[in-house]
Amino acid sequence: MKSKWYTALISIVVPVLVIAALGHAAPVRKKVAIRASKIITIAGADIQDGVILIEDGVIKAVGRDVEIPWDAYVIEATNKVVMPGFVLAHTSSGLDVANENVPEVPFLSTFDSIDPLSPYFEDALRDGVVAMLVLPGNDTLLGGTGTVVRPHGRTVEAMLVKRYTGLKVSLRPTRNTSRMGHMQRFRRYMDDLKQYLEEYEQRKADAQEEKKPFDEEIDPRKQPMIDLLNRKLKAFIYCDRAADVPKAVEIQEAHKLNAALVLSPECYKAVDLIAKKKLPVILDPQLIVWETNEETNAEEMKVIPMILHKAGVRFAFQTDISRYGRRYPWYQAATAVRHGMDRTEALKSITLYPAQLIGVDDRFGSIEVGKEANVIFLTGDPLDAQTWVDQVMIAGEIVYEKAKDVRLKKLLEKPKPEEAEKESAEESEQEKSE
Amino acid sequence: MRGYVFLLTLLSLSLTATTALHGQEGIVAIKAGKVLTLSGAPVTNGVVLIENGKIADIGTGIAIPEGASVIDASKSVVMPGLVDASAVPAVRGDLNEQSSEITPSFRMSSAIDPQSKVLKRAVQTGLTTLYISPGRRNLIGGLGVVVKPAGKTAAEMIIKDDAALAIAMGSSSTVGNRTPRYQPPTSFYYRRPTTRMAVAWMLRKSFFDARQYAASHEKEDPDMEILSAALKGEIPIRVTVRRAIDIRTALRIADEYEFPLVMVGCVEGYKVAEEIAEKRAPVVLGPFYYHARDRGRYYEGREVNWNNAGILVKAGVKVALASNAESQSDDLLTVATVAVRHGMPRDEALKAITLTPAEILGVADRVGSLEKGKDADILILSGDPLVPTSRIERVLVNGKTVYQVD
Amino acid sequence: MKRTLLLIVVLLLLVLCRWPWAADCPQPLAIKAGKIWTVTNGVIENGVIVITNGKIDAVGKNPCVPEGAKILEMPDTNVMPGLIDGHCHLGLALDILAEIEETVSAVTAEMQILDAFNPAADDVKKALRSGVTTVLLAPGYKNPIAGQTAIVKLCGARTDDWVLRRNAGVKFSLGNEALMSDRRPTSRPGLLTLIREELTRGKNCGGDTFDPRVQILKRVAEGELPVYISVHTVDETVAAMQIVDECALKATLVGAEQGDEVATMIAERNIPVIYAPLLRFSKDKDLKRVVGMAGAGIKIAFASTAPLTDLRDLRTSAIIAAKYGLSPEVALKSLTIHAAEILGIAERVGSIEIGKDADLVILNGSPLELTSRVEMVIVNGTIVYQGEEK
Repeated sequence: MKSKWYTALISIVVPVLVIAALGHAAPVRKKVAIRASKIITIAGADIQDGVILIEDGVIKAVGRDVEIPWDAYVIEATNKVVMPGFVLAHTSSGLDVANENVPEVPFLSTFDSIDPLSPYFEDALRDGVVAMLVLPGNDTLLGGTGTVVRPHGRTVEAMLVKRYTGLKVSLRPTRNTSRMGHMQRFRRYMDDLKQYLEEYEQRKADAQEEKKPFDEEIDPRKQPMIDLLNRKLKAFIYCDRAADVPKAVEIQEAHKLNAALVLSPECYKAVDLIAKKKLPVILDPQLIVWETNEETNAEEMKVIPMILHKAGVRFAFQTDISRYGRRYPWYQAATAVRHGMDRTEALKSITLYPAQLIGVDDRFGSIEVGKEANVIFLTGDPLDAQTWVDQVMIAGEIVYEKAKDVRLKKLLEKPKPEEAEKESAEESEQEKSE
Repeated sequence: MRGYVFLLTLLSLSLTATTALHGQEGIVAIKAGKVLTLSGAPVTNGVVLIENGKIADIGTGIAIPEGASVIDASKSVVMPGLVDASAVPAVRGDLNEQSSEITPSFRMSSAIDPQSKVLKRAVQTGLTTLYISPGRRNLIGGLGVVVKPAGKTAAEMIIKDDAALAIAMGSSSTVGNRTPRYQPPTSFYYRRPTTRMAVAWMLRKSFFDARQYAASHEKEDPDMEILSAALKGEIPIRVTVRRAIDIRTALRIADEYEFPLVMVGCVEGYKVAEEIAEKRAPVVLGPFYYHARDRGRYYEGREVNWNNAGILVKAGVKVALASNAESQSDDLLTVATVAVRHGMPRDEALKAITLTPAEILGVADRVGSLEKGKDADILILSGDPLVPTSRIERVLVNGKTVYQVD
Repeated sequence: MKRTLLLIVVLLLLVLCRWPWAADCPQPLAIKAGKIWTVTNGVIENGVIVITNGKIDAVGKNPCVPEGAKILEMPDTNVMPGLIDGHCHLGLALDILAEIEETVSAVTAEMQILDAFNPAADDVKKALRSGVTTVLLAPGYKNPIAGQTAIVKLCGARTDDWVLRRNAGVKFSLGNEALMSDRRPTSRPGLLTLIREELTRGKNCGGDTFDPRVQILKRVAEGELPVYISVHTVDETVAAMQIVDECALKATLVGAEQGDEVATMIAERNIPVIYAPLLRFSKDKDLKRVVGMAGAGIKIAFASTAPLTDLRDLRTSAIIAAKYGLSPEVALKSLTIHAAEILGIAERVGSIEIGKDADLVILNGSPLELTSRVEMVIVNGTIVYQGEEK
């Protein structure tokens, strides 16, 4: 009898305790306060020795004289610069394969092919990126829809910020097609789509007239393009050559699309048209192109952000993970500043403007009351190459700390001799199996 | 016969070279906010005096002679022009004579393209001295040359010919040496080496033959002449190696044949830093790849360390940072900036793109630092060179402004 | 009886000797033209050229015209010497350019371009109609040492009439076209090393070698056979001059598109240049280069490199050069006497002088006007082309 009582007690209490303990393992703090030497809000002036108050992951207050509640968890970011995390408005990295073989596949979604374990995300978080729109590549006409993710999480669901964002249109001709064929293909697709819709509406109207039930659904493969026509989805149109920009404008105007242009380096030559049409723009990671002056044979440096900035075009920067400087968003901004761009505008082009472009500026892009607390703690000025990201906070929670970044340590420190031998042994094993 | 030919070439080259190399006549004075001489402490609010293309004086309180053209850089930083110890080749045609694997008398100087776009761009990113090496497809590729991007003909550009002998170890020289499947071995590419063993063996054999040749020979052989000169230390030997195992092999062979070694590439140098330091072999580092999967395919290893430069320097190795002939790489200032970010000491990084490569190339008597008597190859920047927001405002080569921001 | 026999024999001999000549010997020709551009002795207005036995017998305002001469009244025409094309590949291409280079082996000094020439080819006739009467035939650009050039006239009844030189010199190529990926040389330094090696081999060979290739190279290395070196860029031009210096070659540069940048070097060495066809260039900067070279004292001839470029380009090259600053006199000389001097055939062609071959071009306007048309072409005193009858 007694043993039964004990067993019963243990079988209830122990699990409860365990669950409670597990629950406490990752506490989500309700109130957090950050005290920082400098806060770059992006929304307004920089704040020296300020405080950011966060409640339930949302910024409640920002300023110098903010009172910190007694039950807030205080993060002392002395000698640190706190600013909004970087946002990338367009990337095709982090996917297993960026392009589908077939040119017209608007119904595909990058949500299905994002690889959370890709080093791209790990590096992005390490470098202070808190949100990126992952879209298909440049080698399909209608590549599919994009997904906004944060570079933190073991599964795509855990990384998810916003699904079904943006539809990628590429004006680069697919393999073995000419530009004529490519454009015609697009026009035919749109014509077919419009015809489909008309016929659908006709059938619907007929059914209503005849008082018959109508349960035919729109073909889900056509839905994204219909949403594009209804301006529910934004088109991200990639222009491969300067001559593609007028085509992109033509498409945008013909179908009254909500569109942004993704430019290749050469497209700066169409700056006047871009400025005139006031279309939002995403720059290629390559910010400097060289051109040969035909007369003098001299090589001239063209700085793309400056050319566009002078014409009054607002843009967002992209990064390229395989290159030295360009992999860092702050380096792109620094390049523009080097050649004369205003510092604040440059910083906005890696925070607020891309957030606006991808429709997440209610949560990302600046440190303002009402936005989510997606901030980074820097060891110095963002445009100084010696500055590192010390911590990254996403939705009020610290998700990255440099001090605990084991992989980074390994990449920067000399390997211990035994480890070096082990690595070489592993390497040869790997090679043998290939 | 060869000596006679050499002398005649030298004579005709020098005749054409004398006019161009002297640079600007007259006196130029740069009023500098800060001068990073790289040969001592920085000078604040100083003057750099240039006469006939050479540095006449540097310091504070220097009187500027009358008639001197003055450059106002009082808000700027002045430093020596950058030296790229393994530059993108500004040449025409193939980088190797691929009809044979061992071509010691292949001279890159005969392939220089004075009108190359590479050179014109290089100057605008601050490069004033470049070493152009033969390619990596041949085991013994030939002789490299040190040039300056100023001059109409190759002769005017060259400041040191026969500057080093290029050897490529690891798997790069085996590339292409296999016959395509299902095809008869008819092309001259079907040859050794196809494995690392053969690479090491062929190298040893070449040095062995050179030693025999040096001891006694009947007929003069230009290839053997160069190899024996290299073994004697008269021509520096540069070996391109990436993996740690190849670095070790190179060090071993250098010990066996007792020659001083310079290593180029050394992506896995961090794994064997002490051994390299022990051998006192300088290293010319190329761009690293952030992730191994970005690197080439030919069995060149998968490990990376972002602080390769810092680790080598800490172990006592002399390190130069170069673009390593990668046309896709960023400019040298960015390379140095990123190296500092990842752990290379700042002073070492600045030296690694100026004085250290000049020393490795054997032209430190002329370039690499701002000192009296050296060539007036100067960069003027809007701020500290290792900060990405600093811009190159002006570049001088031999005292003449060759690039200026409008 | 014996005397009569002797007389008959002598008469017969005279008749027999005279007869074949009479068949081949064209009737003496006298051309009365509005303007005669002699090239070496100025322009003669309303002059006459007398041609006998294929040679220029007399030229002047009022020379003595032999009896029985056919007189051509051409008062509105301009007469100039037949054009000389310094470098072309006419009559050689059955399949375009396949016949002009034997690329399997890099050194083919023993090959003779004349063996591939077809005098009856269409492009030969085309060239004639545009006024070209003498050409240097050359192998191509894809071999560092490509073979022997020849100088031919574009028409002639007998062999000695149309071949002026069976072996006019060896063609070398220092351009990047001579590099190939599957045979030596693959690189520029390899190319220069190869050429030096071959010249050294030629120089060092004993006189008793049976190898025709080495024999030719020996003659080249000793300065006996001239060389034509094809170069395009500045570095190639400089490299060519280095080799010429080292091996003391008798050289002419062909192409030399950027030669003006090292004009002093070329002029110092008295190396003539057969310049590339000007219609290949589109930038003003490039069209002025030949003017710079002539100004530095370099002797220039023009080339059509037909069929790589249109063979009618020859006169156009001179016209364009004149537009960009070349003196008309030098432009005309470059098409005629300078080309003849460079090719070593000036005792026969290149100007309208007594004793030279009667190779003439008759145009309806000045030779240096694009609008001028060729109305008649005479080679060796025979009318080989006549335009439409008015």
